Amino acid sequence: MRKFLVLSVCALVMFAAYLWFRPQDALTDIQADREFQPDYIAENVTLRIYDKDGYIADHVRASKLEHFEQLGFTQFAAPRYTLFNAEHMPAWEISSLHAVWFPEDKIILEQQVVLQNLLANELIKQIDTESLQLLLPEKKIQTHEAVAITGQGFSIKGIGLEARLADKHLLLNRHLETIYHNEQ
Amino acid sequence: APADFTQPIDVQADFWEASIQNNISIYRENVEVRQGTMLITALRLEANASAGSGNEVLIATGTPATYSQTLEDGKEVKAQANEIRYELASRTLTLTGNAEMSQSGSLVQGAVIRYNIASQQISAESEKNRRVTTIFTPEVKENP
Repeated sequence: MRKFLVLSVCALVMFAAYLWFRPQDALTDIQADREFQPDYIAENVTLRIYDKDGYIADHVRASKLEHFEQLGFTQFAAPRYTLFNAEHMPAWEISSLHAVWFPEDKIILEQQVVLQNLLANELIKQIDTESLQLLLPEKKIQTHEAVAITGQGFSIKGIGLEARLADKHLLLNRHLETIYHNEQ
Repeated sequence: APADFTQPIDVQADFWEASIQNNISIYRENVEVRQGTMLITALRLEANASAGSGNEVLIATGTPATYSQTLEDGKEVKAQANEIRYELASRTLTLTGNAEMSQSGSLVQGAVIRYNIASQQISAESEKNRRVTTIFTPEVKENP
């Protein structure tokens, strides 16, 4: 009889432990699913942010935006990001098929990234690559990917780029080739 | 074949940086500039595009910077200097600092040598208290 009693107490304890944890797992699964659901979605978005003097500082257009509060980032489809120069003129436009905007004002753009100089007659017209990091406050961009640069009468291939768009300085980590078309 | 100076220019180098503000690109380390048969080698190359496409000025510096080109008649021109400046629009090379240029055994040395690639005209300047040196090597004639 005593043995039977001990066995049944053990079974009860194990069953209680099972109940205790299983719902917890279930709960965590639900919470995990919740985290990967966007908190809000917007389509055909135009986002303008103005600085303290009332000048436009950020201008983003995207076909779709998804914001993930708990994960702390915002995802864009087909984003087009306009950067303004010190004279508050649109100076550069960066576009890609996909981008993620992180809280520390860092945007990672991926797939067919194009950086276009909106000011005419400048040395560099366009930069193409596969992924790019845009650090907003400093207006700095960097990539480790292959890069193709198109300029006034020349084209450059390289790998890895760092650019300070504010003071218009670019640097290739590795230069491969430049061709001056020499059209006179 | 089309004249060298009408062809595109190909630049190889390890590093490149540019100042969009000043319209200047800088190439560094293992710099090779090719245009047809012309080849310039240097440690550093500055490409100034302020005058627009087709009017670039290339300034190559090295220890020394070197230049070589095969002329239409097959003869080879060679040159070296501390600095070789190539103006695309005027097709003029300006060699500055221990400049030397040789062709078919003739040699010109001076502080500054100017050479027009299209007309193949050459002029040289000397430094103070030194003179321009030109050595012509006559062609060897067969005994009649």
